[in-house]
Amino acid sequence: MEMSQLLNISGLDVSFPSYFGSTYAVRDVSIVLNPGEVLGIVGESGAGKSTIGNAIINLLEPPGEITNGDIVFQGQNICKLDDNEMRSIRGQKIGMIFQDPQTSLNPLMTIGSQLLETVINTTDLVGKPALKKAIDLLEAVGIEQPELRFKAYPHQFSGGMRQRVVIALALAGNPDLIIADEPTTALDVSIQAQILDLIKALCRERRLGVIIITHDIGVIANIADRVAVMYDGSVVETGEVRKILTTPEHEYTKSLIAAVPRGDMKLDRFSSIDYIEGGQEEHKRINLESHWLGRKLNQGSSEVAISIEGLNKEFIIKKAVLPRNRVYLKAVKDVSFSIKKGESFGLVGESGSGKSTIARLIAGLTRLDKGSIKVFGQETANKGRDKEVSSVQRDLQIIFQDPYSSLNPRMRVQDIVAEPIRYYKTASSSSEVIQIVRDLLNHVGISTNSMMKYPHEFSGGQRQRISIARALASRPKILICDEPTSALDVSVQAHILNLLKDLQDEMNLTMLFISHDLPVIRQMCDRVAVMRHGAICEIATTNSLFDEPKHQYSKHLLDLMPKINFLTESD
Amino acid sequence: MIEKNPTSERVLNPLSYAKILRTNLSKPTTLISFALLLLITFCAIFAPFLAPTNPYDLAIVTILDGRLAPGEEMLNGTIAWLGTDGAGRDVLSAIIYGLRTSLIVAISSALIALSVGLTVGLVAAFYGGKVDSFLMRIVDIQLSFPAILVALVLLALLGKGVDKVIIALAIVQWALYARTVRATASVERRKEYIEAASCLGFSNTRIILKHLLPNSISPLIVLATLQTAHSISIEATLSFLGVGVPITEPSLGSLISNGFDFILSGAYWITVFPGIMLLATVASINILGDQLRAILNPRFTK
Amino acid sequence: MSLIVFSMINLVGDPVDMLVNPESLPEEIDRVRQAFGLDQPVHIQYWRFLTGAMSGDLGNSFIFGRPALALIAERFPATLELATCALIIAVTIGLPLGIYAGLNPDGWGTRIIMSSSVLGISIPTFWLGLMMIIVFSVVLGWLPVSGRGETAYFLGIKSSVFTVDGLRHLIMPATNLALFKIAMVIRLARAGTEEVMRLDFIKFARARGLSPRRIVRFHLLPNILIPIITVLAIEFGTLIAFATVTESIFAWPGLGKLVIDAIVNLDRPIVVAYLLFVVTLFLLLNLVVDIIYAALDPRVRLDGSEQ
Repeated sequence: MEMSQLLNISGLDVSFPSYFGSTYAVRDVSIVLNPGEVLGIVGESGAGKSTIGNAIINLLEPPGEITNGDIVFQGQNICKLDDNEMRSIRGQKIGMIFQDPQTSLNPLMTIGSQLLETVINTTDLVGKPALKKAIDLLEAVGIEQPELRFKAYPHQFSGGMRQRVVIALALAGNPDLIIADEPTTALDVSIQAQILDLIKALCRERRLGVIIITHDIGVIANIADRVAVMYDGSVVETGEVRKILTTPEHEYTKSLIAAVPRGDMKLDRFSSIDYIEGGQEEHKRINLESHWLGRKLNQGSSEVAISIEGLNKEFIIKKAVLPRNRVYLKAVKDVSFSIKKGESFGLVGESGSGKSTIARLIAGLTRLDKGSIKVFGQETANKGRDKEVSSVQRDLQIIFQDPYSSLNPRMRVQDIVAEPIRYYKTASSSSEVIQIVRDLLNHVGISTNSMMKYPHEFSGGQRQRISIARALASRPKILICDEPTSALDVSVQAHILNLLKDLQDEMNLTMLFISHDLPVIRQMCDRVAVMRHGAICEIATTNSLFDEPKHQYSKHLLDLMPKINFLTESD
Repeated sequence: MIEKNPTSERVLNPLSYAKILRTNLSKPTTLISFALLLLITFCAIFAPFLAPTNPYDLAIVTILDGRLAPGEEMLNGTIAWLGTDGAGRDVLSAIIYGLRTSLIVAISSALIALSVGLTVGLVAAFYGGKVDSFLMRIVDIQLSFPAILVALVLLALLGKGVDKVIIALAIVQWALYARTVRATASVERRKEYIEAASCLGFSNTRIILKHLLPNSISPLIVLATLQTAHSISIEATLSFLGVGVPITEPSLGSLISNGFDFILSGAYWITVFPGIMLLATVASINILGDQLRAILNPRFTK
Repeated sequence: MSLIVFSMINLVGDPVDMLVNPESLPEEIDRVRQAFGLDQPVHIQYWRFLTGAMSGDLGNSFIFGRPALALIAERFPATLELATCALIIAVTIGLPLGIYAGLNPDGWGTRIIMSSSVLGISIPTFWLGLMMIIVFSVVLGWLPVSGRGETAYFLGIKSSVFTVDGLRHLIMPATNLALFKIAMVIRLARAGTEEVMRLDFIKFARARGLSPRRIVRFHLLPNILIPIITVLAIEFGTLIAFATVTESIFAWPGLGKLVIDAIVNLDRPIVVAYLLFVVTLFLLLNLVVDIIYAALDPRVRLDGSEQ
């Protein structure tokens, strides 16, 4: 069986020497791939999975280097080859596709020229036969009217189409192995499925070996035959996909799978995720009566926390001198809904659906064109951050999506959280301020001795915790969470979502939860609104939406949810 | 979305500055230029005490000392190490005083331009929309004219004098500072920590000063350094052409201009030495500026 | 714009003082004043100026006594020639060196190139010009000290490039003017190269097995040229302005020398004419830049139409 193996990696070590010493991105990794098989390499960030892909075709970012091990491809050890020899393998024997199709293509060259040059450089074809092959490739990846699209530039394609072009380029040299590094991460959910289907079909048709590198277990379940689970540079478990996902053996795999939000039923909390970062002491409940967080004047007895009516917002996407030439994008079209006090309301939709815009409109960060927003009964539309309504608006805080830009990089964490307290003088002395800050940070899971550090010294998950602490420092009654975990690893996500659940529970917060990820919505929300192109398609309780969706689009989204139902068998 | 590797961004905070200073000062070019710069600054500040004579004190200078070769002795006994010019001024002293002028002009104009440019850039970036368009239109118009041209015209209007040169150079430079700040600040403006500050209800002034400003100034540091070097060059050029600092005030440019007449007759030292000093000063500031740029914009793999 | 220029120039000084012997009788002075129209109130002067400008008459130079605009038009070609040559030299030398430096960041060749570029932007142009004269004309005697050489016609263009004598006169001032720009182009090219080489599409091109030469020529070059070309187009304007210095040193009969003298001698019509001329030139240049950008970058030229 040895000779028919397409790829055999054994004992691979990749290290990055630096001023401070070497770090190992990959340690003692062994992987086997057969022709016609799809192998998934799954892991979270820092696991080393992309590094393996780069190492196979020897395109490691400097100063990375392979320090040990063998990579045997079709019987030949390729990790010892120099760049020239490697070049004849790249494209012709092994093809690779990357995450972001927009940046993978030269913006100044037509896709036709890029395709043609690849065909000419990697096969023996020239002239007319080469042109024909290029057009055939475009057709094979599902691009209509290939002769016409040949002369188009990359920016004239949509994201999904661009990725198809990228796949065509990778196939141009008739390779036997394709490495796909996060091929669908940058795409919308509906497009993701199409691209994965395409890859699967091509793999079967041409008897290719495919390595899919991803962080998304749903993708693995969808397309892979076998999977290797990576953690911290090593492979912790390998095997058939079904077996690994239903009966994982390694502790990390178990935690990883448990952290994936389930789309089939709502759990109280994500459990058994302790193997990974963040698993720390029990979250201590606070008694709202006696705690500083509860010490605030009552905002009236309105049962409705947020009520919006006929919200409209459009953006100019093409400026022009004459008004009739301007092009507008209607980001929010006549949206109305209301959220009860203490409720957890979800807004779900793909990118461009308008959900983030609504969050910003409600928070007063963006001016609206038409409509009304009432927070606890008080009208706040287009008042900016006006003095009159400011105390009501302060009751409303946002947790943002990008943990890497939501904290001021030049402020210490302690000051970041203390700022609202100091500004509004809600504490009686500066030592009390520090005490409250310490308390808040502990409460969200940041240890006291990190208080004087700067944001860049923390991981993404920790930064989100700090953002949450900062939001709490103004004692909000409403928390808007705008994709708070989309930029985080799935295990970290589980911890943060647990934290949010706990906080909501003990402080009776009203929550507006925004996400594109349906299973997350299922876990976090009581009621949901589905949005598309700025308008609401359906509003329902979570259970009735997931069990009996009424709108066509809702059904479509639910269909696209990854089918990892066999995971429930272990329960 | 994939979580970015936390070490792929480097944000400088006060703690790491010291470490970086230490590592970078060990490079020979940086060390030399830094040392040179310190020497020059020292000379400039203490000029009256260091220079053998005061070449602009009309009482001392006499034409009988004119065009002495380097190393010859002047009438009052001091040795003209670098020779004397046509009017009898000691070249070494003139250079020291000239450096002083250069530094004063360059630093003053840079400070003024920086303050104005910083304010304009921050305001434009923060408020965006019409304010931004309007301010940047002005900046763009000014920037489409070459510095030297604007300086020439301004000085033609304002006349001669050190203070007028400072004003002219400040007017020439502010737009570049404004545009640089605005570019960085616009990017920062869209980041979520600014939105969070808005959400928390802080006043706009506070947000601009405490959140936007500190995160927008690092490119300005590099720019200020390079612009200082550039200003020294421009001031010397203007004085050389005769429209900058008046002849009665020390300037390396006018010194070189004087020497122009004597090139053909062999008194090279009047032109060569001031030029070398000018070159050394400007070069060391530029080297420092490059080093600063390398420090403040580290390139990491994505 | 013209209002600003005009009013500012009026504040500068009384040109009559420059032209007339201060010892002359008051009647003489008045007569001169009248001849130049300087006895009229300011707003009438401005009106006359505007109407004159519309028909191309910007007044006569006080010093030369001829129409200012004609003088400018006469001297402009020499400056244009100088600036164009300097630009060509800068690009021909600077671009390849900069790209090389960007592609080989750790080589010793790169170190030399980058150190030279720092020197290049630090050397004061005027001083270097003087040094060049000392070395090449006085000491070595290879090249003439100053002035413009003979000109010849080629394809309807009159230029000194086409004669040997012309070239001998041209080479020093052009190189002198070009030096700063060479260093600038090197730095731009190097920064651009380093930046583009790190982009994803370069990595993808390598992953597809394309040769390094192909990658540099077809993928790297177009992507760095666009910003460089746009910068250079604007810098061409600076070259024309900065030529004033070089022209003064090398006695090159161009626009720059004319203007400096005009400023020093308070020859108002020339200064005004020069300013207006230059303003128009830069507006044109900016327009050209926009056109170039649109022509070269398909993202600007074509709308992104989704399928």
